[in-house]
This record gives sequence, structure tokens and C-alpha cells, in this order.
Amino acid sequence: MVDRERKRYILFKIIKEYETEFNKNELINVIWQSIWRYFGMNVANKIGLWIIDINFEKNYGIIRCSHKTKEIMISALSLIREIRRKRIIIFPIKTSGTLKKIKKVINEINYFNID
Amino acid sequence: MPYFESKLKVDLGNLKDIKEKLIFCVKLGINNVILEPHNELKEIDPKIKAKIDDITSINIYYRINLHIESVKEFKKKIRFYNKCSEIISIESMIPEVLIHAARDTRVDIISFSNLNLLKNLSKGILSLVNQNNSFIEFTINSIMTDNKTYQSKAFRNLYRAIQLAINTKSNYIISGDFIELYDLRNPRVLASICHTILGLPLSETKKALSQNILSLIKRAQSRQNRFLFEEGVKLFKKD
Repeated sequence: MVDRERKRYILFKIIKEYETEFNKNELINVIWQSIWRYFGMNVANKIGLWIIDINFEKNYGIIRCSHKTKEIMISALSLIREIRRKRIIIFPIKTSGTLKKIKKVINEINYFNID
Repeated sequence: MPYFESKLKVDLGNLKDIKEKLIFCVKLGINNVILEPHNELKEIDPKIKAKIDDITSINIYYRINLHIESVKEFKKKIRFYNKCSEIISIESMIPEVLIHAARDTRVDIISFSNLNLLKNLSKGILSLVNQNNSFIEFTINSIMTDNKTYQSKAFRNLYRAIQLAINTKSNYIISGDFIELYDLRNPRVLASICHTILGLPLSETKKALSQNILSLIKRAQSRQNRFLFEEGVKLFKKD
């Protein structure tokens, strides 16, 4: 019997070296490049990556992936080093099985006001 | 579970640089850091420690890393650290120095912080480290390089070395040792990277970034206790 695939939502924070501007597509490209470089096709087809929300003003985002590839997704996000040749860190803050909990964390934690 | 960044190189004379690094650690959610001065100090000035403590709320610990090139040099240098409360680590390209260091109870860590040093890791050293309850250190700074060939080679060597440590049931720690600010990563993330890329069990990597470092700090601090002779042997005062 095949295990039912469950979803995982990952809340991440973006730390930029300069006020680099980039769009959602560029971010998705960079994430896929990281997945391909470190994990390859074998893993890439199991991830089920979906960007739920991205806030460039407050520098955070939420992505969805399968529960089995959660750790891979965390690694791939953290191994991203640059966008448009400018240094960047994508740092996972919280992983949850429900979007409600992630949104609660966004409201509760004052993570995004750190200068 | 508290995670540690156990190797953050700093210049103790440059408080501005230290402040910048520690603020960045806060941004990344790193709560426990072990600072390593660039130069080999005999003792870290308590005034500097107090100043650093004022800068941040992060838990700060210190380590002194000695680069040794001969057995004679090792014997000469290690004399100064008999009752040192800081963590003492040794780095050397010479296998005999590593064997001497692994036998010495004053040495807390045998550090294998780069690809060349990893070549000297052997079962003999791991066995001596086990007997002494000290630690082996692996660093994963090689993940932050653009050169894919070098990166693959580094991962392969790291994989072999960590597997050897796991098979011999040795105590080991994993640290970042990132030089550039934007290469720094949260230790929990490093556990994920080791699990997914090096194929290590997640519980093992978490232990290497958390529990083992706590034991290491405890070991270094216990050197200050004059009633504690060695692990399990303590002198009690008669009341």
C-alpha cells in the first residue's frame, strides 16, 4: 500500500546583502537550481514544490512540499547563496503541517523586524 | 534542543567586527556560539569577555585553536593550558602530533577543519579520542563553494571520515567554520544538510551539533574544578 503523501509548509526568511530586487520567478528558479544541483532529478520529481506566499517587503515567504522531502527542501533553501550575483540567505524558520499554524507564527514572532 | 555554532573565528581586538557577526547570528536564530580568536592566545582577557557579553544576549563560549607542526612544539605549547577553562583544540598535518594530542587530557578537540587535515584521520586516533572522552571536529565550510569538483571531493572525504567516526562510536562534533558573513547558516539547517547530502541519520547530526557540544563545554569547565580529578573521580570535603 502506498503511503498517503502529506503536505508540509515551510516559513522562510530572506536576508539580502544589499537592497537587491528580484521577483517570484527568479526565486523559484534559484530554488529549483539548488534542488537540481544537490539532489538531482531523482528527488526533484518527489518534492511537489509550491510557493504559497511571498512578501518582498517584509522578506519572508511560505512554500509547500511533501512531508518526505521536508529536510531536502530545508537543505536546498539554505544552500542558495546568490540571486543576480548578490549574496542572499534563505533561512527556514518554521515547518508545519498546517498553514494556519504558520500564519500564527508570522503574527506571533517579531522575526521580520530585525534590521 | 540547543544547537551550537562551534567555530566562529573572530579578531578579539576588533569589537566592531565581533558585534557585526553576533548581530548576524541573532538574525539567523543562532543562540549559542563558540568564538575562536584568530591568534593563539594563552588566555582570553575577562574584560574582553565582559565587553562581548554586553553586546549580545547570545550564549557565548570560547575556544583556543592551536596549529602545531611538531611534537616538540605541542609539548611546549600545551603546558600553558593546564587549568584553562576554554575549549582547547589542536590542528596538525603531522599524524604523530595528532596521536600525542589525542592522548593528552588537556586537549578537548582534535580538529579536522579542511580537506588536507582529513587525510590524517585514522582508527588509532579515534580509539585514543574514545579512551580520553575528547572529541573529533568536522567542519562543513566546503558546502559554500562554487567549485563543484572541489565540493564533491570535500563531501566524499567528509562522508568517509564521519562514517569512520560513527563505526568506531567516537564522539564527534560538526561545526560551520564559515569565514564570510553571508556563508553563515543556522546549526539546525546544517543538521539537515548533513542528513540529506551526506546521508547521515538525522539523530546523529543533531547530536553532533547539540548534545556533544554541551558535553564538550562541560568537560572544559570541569578543568577548573580542583576537586574533580577525572570523569567519575571527585574529592568530597568532610563536613
